[in-house]
Parts: sequence; C-alpha cells; structure tokens
Amino acid sequence: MRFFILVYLLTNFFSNIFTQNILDISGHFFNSFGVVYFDDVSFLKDTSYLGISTLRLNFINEFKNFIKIDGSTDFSILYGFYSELFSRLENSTKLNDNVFLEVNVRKLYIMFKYSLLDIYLGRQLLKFGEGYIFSPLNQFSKIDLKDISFSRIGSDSLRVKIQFSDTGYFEKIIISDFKSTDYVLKLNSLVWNLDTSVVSIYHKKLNWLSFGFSLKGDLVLGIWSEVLYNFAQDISKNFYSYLVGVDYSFLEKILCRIEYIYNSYNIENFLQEVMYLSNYPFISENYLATQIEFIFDFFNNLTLLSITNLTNNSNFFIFSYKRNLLQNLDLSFTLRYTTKNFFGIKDFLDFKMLTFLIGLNIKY
Amino acid sequence: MRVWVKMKKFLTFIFVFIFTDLFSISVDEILKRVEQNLSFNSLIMTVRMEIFSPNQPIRIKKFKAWISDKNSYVEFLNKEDKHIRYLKLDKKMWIYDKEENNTFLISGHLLKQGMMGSDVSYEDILEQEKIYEKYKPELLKEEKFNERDCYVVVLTAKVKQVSYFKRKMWIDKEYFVPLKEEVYSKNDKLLKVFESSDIKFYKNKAYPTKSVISDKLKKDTKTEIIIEEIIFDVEIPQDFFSWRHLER
Repeated sequence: MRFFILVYLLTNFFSNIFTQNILDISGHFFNSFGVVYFDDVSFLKDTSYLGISTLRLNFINEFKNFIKIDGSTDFSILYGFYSELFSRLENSTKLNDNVFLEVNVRKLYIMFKYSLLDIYLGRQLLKFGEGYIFSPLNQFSKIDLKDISFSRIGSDSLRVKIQFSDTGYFEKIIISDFKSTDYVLKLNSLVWNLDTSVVSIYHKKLNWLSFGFSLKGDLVLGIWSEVLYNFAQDISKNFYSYLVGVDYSFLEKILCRIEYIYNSYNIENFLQEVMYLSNYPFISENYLATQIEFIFDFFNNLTLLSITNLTNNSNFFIFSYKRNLLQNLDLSFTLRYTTKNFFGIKDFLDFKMLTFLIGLNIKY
Repeated sequence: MRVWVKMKKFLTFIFVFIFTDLFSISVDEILKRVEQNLSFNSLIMTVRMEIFSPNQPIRIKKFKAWISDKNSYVEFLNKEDKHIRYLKLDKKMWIYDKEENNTFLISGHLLKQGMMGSDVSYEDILEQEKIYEKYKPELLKEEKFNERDCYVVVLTAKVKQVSYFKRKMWIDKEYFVPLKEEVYSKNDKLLKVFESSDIKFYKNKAYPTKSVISDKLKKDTKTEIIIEEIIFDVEIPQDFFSWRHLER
C-alpha cells in the first residue's frame, strides 16, 4: 500500500512539473576527426587517426521558480587513438574494434529555492577561482580533455547556498563519490570592486586542510589571482600554490592573456596526492601560459595558446581557427603539439605528439 | 519715405529677434526634454538583434532585458546563446555561462568590444542616463532628418571618463527623441552611427523601437535592434539584480 502511495505521489509530483512547465532541451552535436603523429614511440605507430562524435543533451525544467531540475549528458563515440586512450574508463562500452561509446553525465541535479537559501543536490559543476587555464582552487570539476573547448564534468555533491547581499553569498558543499568525501566552505563577495572568494577545503581521504582565496578586478589590465595553502598531517607534505593572470585587448580585435602558476611541491613525492587533487594535467612545479585571440569579425576567430612547463622547458601549443558558417553551425581547425615530458611525470605521456583535428559543431 | 522704410526694417528685426527668442529653446532644455522622455523607473523588453555583415546571411539573436535604475539583467532567448546571461550592477558587468556554470567579470578593457559579435559594445549598453552632464552641449543648427524637423546638437566631453569624445545628435523637435547620433574620437574620427526610428508612444513618452548601429571601423557591418515588446515602470524584484539570480 505504502509503495502505491509513494508511486502516486511521485507520479503526481513529476506530472505537475512536466505539464505546467515546458521542458527546455538544448545542446550540440560535435564531430571532430583528425590525425596524430608520434615521434619515436616504441609502443605506438608513427601515425594514427582519431575522432570523436559527441551528442550533448541539456535539459532544464523550472517549476514555479522554486524547484529546478538541470541535466547535461555527453554521448560520445570515440574512434582510433581516442578509443585507445579513454577505453579503460568505467563509463565506456566497446562497440567495435577501435570504436567505443562513452556516456558522461556532466550534471544532473535538483535545486530547491526557499527565501535566501538554495539547495542543490546531485551532480553539478563546481567552479572555484578565477583562472582560465590554471586554477589551484578549482579542484572539483574535471576538465574533459577530449573536448577542444575544455568543458567540465561535474561532481556528486550537496550544496547549500545562502545569499547575504546582491553580490555576496556563502556556500557549504559536501562532495562525495561514495569512496571519499570532501567538505568545502566558500564565501563569495564583491569587495572594493574586486570579485573575491575565500575557500576552505577538507579532503577527508588525504586528511588535508586547504585554505585559499581568489581575486579579480581591473587595473587598466584585467588582473586575477588565486592562492591556496595545503596543511597535511605530515608537515613535510604541506605546500602552497598560487596563480597570477592578466589580460588586455587591443584594437577591439586582439585579446592577450598571460597566466602563471607555481606549485611549491616536488611532483615525484606528491604524485598520488596531486593526482587525486588535480583536475587538469598542469601539475608540475610551474607553468606559464600565453594566449592570443584574434577576433577578426563575428564569423572568424583565431586562437594561439602556448603553455610552457618552466621546470623542464617543455611545451604545449594549440592553434585553433573557428568559423561560423551558419547561425548554429561552426567549423573549426585545431592543431596541438606537445613536446616531451610536458606533464613532468616520469613515463606519463612522455613523448612528442602532434594532433590535427577538423571539427563541426551544430547547436540545437 | 526712406525713414519709414528704415523704420520698418528695424521694427521687423526687433519683432523677429523678440519672437524667435521667445519660442526658441536652449540646448540645455532640449537635452533635459530628451532625458525626461527617455527616462524610466524600470522596464522589461524583448529585443531582436540582427547582425549584418558583407556576403553573409544575417545572424539573429534575441534577448529579454530587465532594467531598473542603474542595474540590468539580460537573458538570451535564441537557441545558440540560451546559456548566456548578463548582469550589470552600476558600472560592473558579469557574464554567466549556464552550460559551464561559470561567471566572468567583464574587464574594463573588454567593454569596447561588440556584445555577442554585434556593432553594439558593452560600453554602449553600460552608458545610461545623465551622460549629458559629462559633455559641453552646443546647438549647431536645425535641419531635417528622415523628413522630421530636428535640432542638431554637438556634445564635447568635459571629462575623461566618457566612451566617446564627441557626439553629434539629431533630436526630433516634436518628440525629443534622438533620431541619429554620430560619435567621434578625440582626433575627430567617426566611430559609430546610431539611427533610431519606428517611434511608439507609451503613456506620455515617445520611444524609438528600432535602432541601427554601424561601427565605422568595421567594413560594411551594421546591427539592427528591434524592440518587440516593452513594458515601462513595472515592479522588478530587487533580487533580480544579484549574483544569486544570475547563477540560479
């Protein structure tokens, strides 16, 4: 009897949601294909093909402005070298030789809004800090390295957000993947015209406590910074990271951006912890990123990005050209080049690699 | 007889002088009337933005804006940009990308760039009422523009903190609506031309519902802004203009 009452209540609840509001569906279909060249790698062929076709499905439903359900899932078919790289992931299924299907639930959460309180429950994108390329504070939403726009994958969490002013809120977040749990307290506010956030993180599995802050403002140049200090139980494992970034635009067409990050640890002693904490591959001691974006007009956009690992002088370059062909259709060419030992980890992708990709993105 | 002719000329001069002075309007009064006509407590509007470029099909963007005092909030409605929202609080502006849950403060140097690739810069949007206080006005002449009688007013910047050094405006004599505006740099280079038309009346206000903006530094481009729906002086909850609402 109780089961039927529960089913009745749930059916009633969801039918109310879906009949009184229109479910808003959007997303894109991205198809990219190319070749990759390896220099002197014994276990790989000199040249391989690679490709990815991704259907992104976003949906959102708001019910009378106090409940929201928001989701985004990527269904990707990986070919060639991509399938070799990512086939071991839990969420991929083999379809054929060298063809895998990967399903990535980027976000799926329900949000309740009451008075000054917002409660988010489920997989959500947690963005901390201000960095564009590097971000020591941004530890909980992984970068999808297959995606050329470096989109993110969410974390399973419970987030409580309390607003205290138009430009200020406090957040308490519990992040759990059922194997480990992390706790975050975060304060966001506009202070002296600077976007400011103060963060404290407790990593239960590592028994680490981290404190940090980020700032963003204007000083002729756009300027931003992040600082993070990690306290470990073993004092020898304490370390800090900081990031400084500036940008400036010229002639309303050219945007230059520079970011520098410094991590005070020695990667070889911290490999396990850093791999657990980091969501991007920039985990060596210090990196410098230089980005120049040419916005020729509404239709043509060219980006040059260079990231240098200053510890071992290795590099990662991206050249990317995007053309808007139709209202919802973009064509892109991307060239990536990685020199030896860019990640700074022994035997991890420790070879030269050149990738050329042509992509087509249809938004719907 | 000659004395009478001289006398007549003199009287005509006095008559014309007195009456033109009585019916003429000062440049400050013109700008005050423009400001009165275009000012509002709050408004909600749905806008269609058409971006024209040579040899390209038109790109169409649609957004809804809530504006109150010095604050505004914008949500894009067209499918391709539906994940983008803007919040402007006084002189600060943020973009929120809903798909990536990412909020960016738009740095000052980026404010001159075209909003969503259009000829309208963020600065044009940020600039609101009382901009005339920053300029020294001069009534240049009266002339017709699009068959409407207009005052031609030139504004020259008194302070450094302005988007454009000089503005030349054609203000409709009847409705006190700027029908055309040319903006210039300090070295007198024409930067942009704004043209307004399709005047509609809301209560006692005349409001142009179509504007064409052309950036003269770009070749043969223009952006048309068509107000499809507009409601004046509606109550907008204060929490609309907050980070919480932007990132909701």
